[in-house]
Amino acid sequence: MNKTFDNNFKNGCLTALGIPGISLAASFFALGALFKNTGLNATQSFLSTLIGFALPGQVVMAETLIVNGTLLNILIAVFLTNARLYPMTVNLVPVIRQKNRPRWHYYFLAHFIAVTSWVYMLSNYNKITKESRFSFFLGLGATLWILSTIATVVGFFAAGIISKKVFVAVIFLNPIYFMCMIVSVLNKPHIISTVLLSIIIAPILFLVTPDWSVVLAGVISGIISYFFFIR
Amino acid sequence: MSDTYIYIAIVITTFATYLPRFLGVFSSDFVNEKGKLFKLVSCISYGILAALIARIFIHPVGALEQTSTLIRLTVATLTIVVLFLTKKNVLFSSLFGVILFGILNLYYN
Repeated sequence: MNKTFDNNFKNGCLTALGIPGISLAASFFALGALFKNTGLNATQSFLSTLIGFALPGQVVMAETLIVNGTLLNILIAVFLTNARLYPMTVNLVPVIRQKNRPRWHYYFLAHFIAVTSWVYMLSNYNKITKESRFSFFLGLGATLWILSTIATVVGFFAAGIISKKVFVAVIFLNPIYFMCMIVSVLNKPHIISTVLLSIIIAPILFLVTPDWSVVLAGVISGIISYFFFIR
Repeated sequence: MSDTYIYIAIVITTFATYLPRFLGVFSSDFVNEKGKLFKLVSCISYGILAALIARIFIHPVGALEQTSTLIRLTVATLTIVVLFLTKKNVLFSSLFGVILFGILNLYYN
């Protein structure tokens, strides 16, 4: 590893320790408490975030376990919930791609692609040189992952100690942060149009198909905006 | 529910989570940062994220489900106003939103 890589990696780590890390840790803290109420033990809670790092999918797993869902139910429900990671990854990799970097590096890095790291990187990549982006994202994603894993375990042990009202407010930090991040980067007509359309379509689609509403709303609004503003 | 069953569920969840990431890296070979396909994928990604956020605010699951929709939407609206008033200060606006939500949820829910 050279010095430039180290510095970019370090910058990514430091960025993650700010508001992105705090907001994500708050959500995983709540997830830890949910896991305890579901019947998981501390090791299982730790392992879930360590190897399956994507909060909505983990929530779906816990909820399916609560209602005694089958393993096939879990597979389908989690895959549908996390299908959003596909376009997000397709979108992110060209941004951080470097010539001569082995392909397996990207497959390894993919584990760290989640909403928080993705939103931050896509909002700020223009401020980072092309050669620095991979190491920066690795620092950012890995730190968020470690923080989330620790927060899950802390949340597991803190369940029942913290008042429910405070607990709910802590959970709310993550969606509020996502919303602020997305609104703050709305500067291109095709993205503004997509976001507005999606916000209108998603709740309507939810009434028809709750499982598919998020993916469908994103695809429909994205395609409409693309044809209207780009093509 | 046995421990083994939960461990298998965690492994299945991990597989179902990593699969779209794996396929995403695989497909990204065909996407150029300056190309039109990149913009289409950008639109879809932002659309999905916006839908996810809308869902959390309007039809949340888990602990947020027991909070008032009116409070969640009021806080979201006021937070956006604060975001623009503070020249897009994400940290300040996020903290404002969560504190306001905590207070409203404490007294009116």
